[in-house]
Amino acid sequence: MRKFTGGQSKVTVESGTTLRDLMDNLEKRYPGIRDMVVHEELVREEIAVFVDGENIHQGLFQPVLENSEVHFLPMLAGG
Amino acid sequence: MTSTADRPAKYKVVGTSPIRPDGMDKVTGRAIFGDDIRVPGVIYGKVLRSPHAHAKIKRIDVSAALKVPGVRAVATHGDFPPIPAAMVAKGDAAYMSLRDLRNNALASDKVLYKGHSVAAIAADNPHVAEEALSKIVVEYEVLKPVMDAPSGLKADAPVIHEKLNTISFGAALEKSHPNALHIEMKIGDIEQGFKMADVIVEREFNTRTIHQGYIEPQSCTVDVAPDGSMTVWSTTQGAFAYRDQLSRILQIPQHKIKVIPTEIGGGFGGKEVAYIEPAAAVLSRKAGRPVRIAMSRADVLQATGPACGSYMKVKMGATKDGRMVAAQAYLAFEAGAYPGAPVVGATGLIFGRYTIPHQSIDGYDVIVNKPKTQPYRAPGATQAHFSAETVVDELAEKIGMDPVEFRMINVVKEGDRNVQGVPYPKIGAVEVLSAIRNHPHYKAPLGGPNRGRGIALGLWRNGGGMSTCIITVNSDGTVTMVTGSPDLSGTRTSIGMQAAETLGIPFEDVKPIVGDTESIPYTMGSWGSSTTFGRGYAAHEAAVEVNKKMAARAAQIWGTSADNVQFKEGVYSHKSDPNLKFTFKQLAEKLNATGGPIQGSVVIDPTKGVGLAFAACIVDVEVDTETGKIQTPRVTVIQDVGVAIHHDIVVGQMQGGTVQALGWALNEEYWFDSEGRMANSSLLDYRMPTALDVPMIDTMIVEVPNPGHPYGVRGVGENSIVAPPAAVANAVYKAIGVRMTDLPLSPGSVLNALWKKQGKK
Repeated sequence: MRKFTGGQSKVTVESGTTLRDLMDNLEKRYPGIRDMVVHEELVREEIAVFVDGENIHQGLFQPVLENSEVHFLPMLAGG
Repeated sequence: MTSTADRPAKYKVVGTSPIRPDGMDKVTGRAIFGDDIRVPGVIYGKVLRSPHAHAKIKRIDVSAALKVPGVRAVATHGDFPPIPAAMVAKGDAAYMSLRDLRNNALASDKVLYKGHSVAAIAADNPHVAEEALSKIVVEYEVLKPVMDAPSGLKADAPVIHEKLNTISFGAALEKSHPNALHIEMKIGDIEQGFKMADVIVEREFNTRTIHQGYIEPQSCTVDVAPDGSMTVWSTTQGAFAYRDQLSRILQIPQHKIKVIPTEIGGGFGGKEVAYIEPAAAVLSRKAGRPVRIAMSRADVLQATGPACGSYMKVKMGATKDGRMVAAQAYLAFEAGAYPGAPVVGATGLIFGRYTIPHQSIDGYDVIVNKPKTQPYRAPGATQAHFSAETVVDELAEKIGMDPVEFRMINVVKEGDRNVQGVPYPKIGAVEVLSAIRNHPHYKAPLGGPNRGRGIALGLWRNGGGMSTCIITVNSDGTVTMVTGSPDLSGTRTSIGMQAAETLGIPFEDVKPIVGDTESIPYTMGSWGSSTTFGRGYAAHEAAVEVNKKMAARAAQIWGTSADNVQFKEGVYSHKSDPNLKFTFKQLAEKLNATGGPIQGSVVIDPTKGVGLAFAACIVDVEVDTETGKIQTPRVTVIQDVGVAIHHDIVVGQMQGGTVQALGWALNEEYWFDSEGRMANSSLLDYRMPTALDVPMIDTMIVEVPNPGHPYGVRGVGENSIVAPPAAVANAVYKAIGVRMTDLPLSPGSVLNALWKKQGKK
């Protein structure tokens, strides 16, 4: 995803109230980045999203706060 | 065995070791495993497998096979329906796209490893099926195979997939080579970091393909009805995962597929994808009969999902006062025939035990002509720790510091951030290191020549995942509890214990059952150290719901509001009238006459508590410098389990993972001939440890309760496999002064290293 953010691994944008708002705001600033996380209006299955330390599962409906910290990570599996 | 934490006195069930409800059947042979299923009218399926590691399929002629008396059906790739283009992996099969899984079940235009399924036959008996298989004619154009990651990354390497499917991982990895996908993680400035270092160590490492070694081969029976609905009995770690894989591969609605998980003789990550079920379903549909397919041991070793081999370069730097300042890694993992090596996990965790300000990690997921790799108990972590933990040990030596103290200076704590920027929650890394330092093994005299002691610290995660539980109260006060994840390791017991604790009843009054895909909502499979954590969480929540409903029923009986009823230690009592109280059993007896049975049903996907856990290993080795053989006279495993629900089961997990790790460290590897064919596909030649090979493994349970779980549970099933290979390598160095960088540390490799050190040829 850093290829869309000029190499930055950490960026700050307006959160809105949901993850959907956050992704829309990210897309406005870094065109193309939304498709890395979202496919057919669902969070991609291979991406894990952490909001304020919690591995969230509500997808784009997940509430986010003004100062929320959101991480997009590759999904891990286990044995 | 000792524990470092005081157990809260309030737990009556959690922390004990009740008899497992499945134990008697398993030790007396009554338990029903995959190969025990007997369905009326069943016929027998056999699979034709490729003799080549890499070849185009020019032609398949099944006409002669169909003429064999007793043959009922033949299946090839053409029997699968077309699949929509964008078939990405579900989280349950995170390492394999579903299109690749379909092509793995029956090869399309190429075979990609020796053992790759080409066609399948169903016949009245296995012998007829074998005879018919021999009459299938397959014309191949043999191609040069790629057999390791460095070879696969060469500019002139044979291209295995003309069109590499990157969709599954496109958001995380990028195609960097015709045979490879790439992921990178960086923080700080790695060049600056190494400039700050007083001591730098850089080494290269290799590990081989190995297998999970589950004792029970894959086996399935599939019965397709005339209306297209099917029942599948299978030895699987995830009934719902198999249902969904079959649904998408065969383009059949989920509600028409019922998967019944049989008792399972081991999985460790190797039974997360369907290998034989798709072909069995096609055969059953065509024959109009149930079809059973069972893999042989050779099939299992050649054609399921082993753990990947790897090539790694690790470079780390530290200051002379013991601070790690820079860490760099190059990881090339063999994905096997399709993308999806556990390189993502490895890159995220390789240095994750330590606070290092400058890190640069490059991971490559490299396609090779071997069976598609699958998870093996902390996938990717064992390989990564083997490299990094031996470099950490070498750094400690060069600085002149005790290896535990060096690690203690740098170990991560709550609030530190990993390489991906995620803060660590409450973790037990310091406690585990302290436990090493204080353990009698660490300071015990070694005695004898060519003996050495090594340690290593391991990090793995515990997952959550969709978790469901249904608890029904019976009229005699006993409880039936249904959970959706197969029981690999006693998890139905540990889940049931959490329900019993919350309900305030003895565990013996709980009947835990593993349900099929029609008896319970969707549940994630038993992997990722998630079962006792996640499904136990669901059981607790379902029990809370039962308690609320029971309290409401008591209120109804007493003619008061539910607010006036309290529940404590299995007793419902009226807050204002001490004479009004019911035990769970007494209240249950009144249910049918006061409104009917009570049930609690919960579907959750835990968000809190999904995180990380630490384990460590202390190993003593004795090296025979004449033969190169390594003995391990003493082994101790230390693990932060959060809270041990079933003490003995937790100990078993710790010991079992350690034994597997010792096999990985000392013996196990796939041998391939010059044509890329596995040469040791039997347990005689693929040498796993037996009880005669390993010492009694001492275990120390550390309990740093997980604040994100009602009972403080952390996943325990995987972590114990992570540290031992590095600990063994560190011990060998102490014993004979040679740094071993290739797994396994076989007698031949030890002798070669010794002779090289001595200047001998």
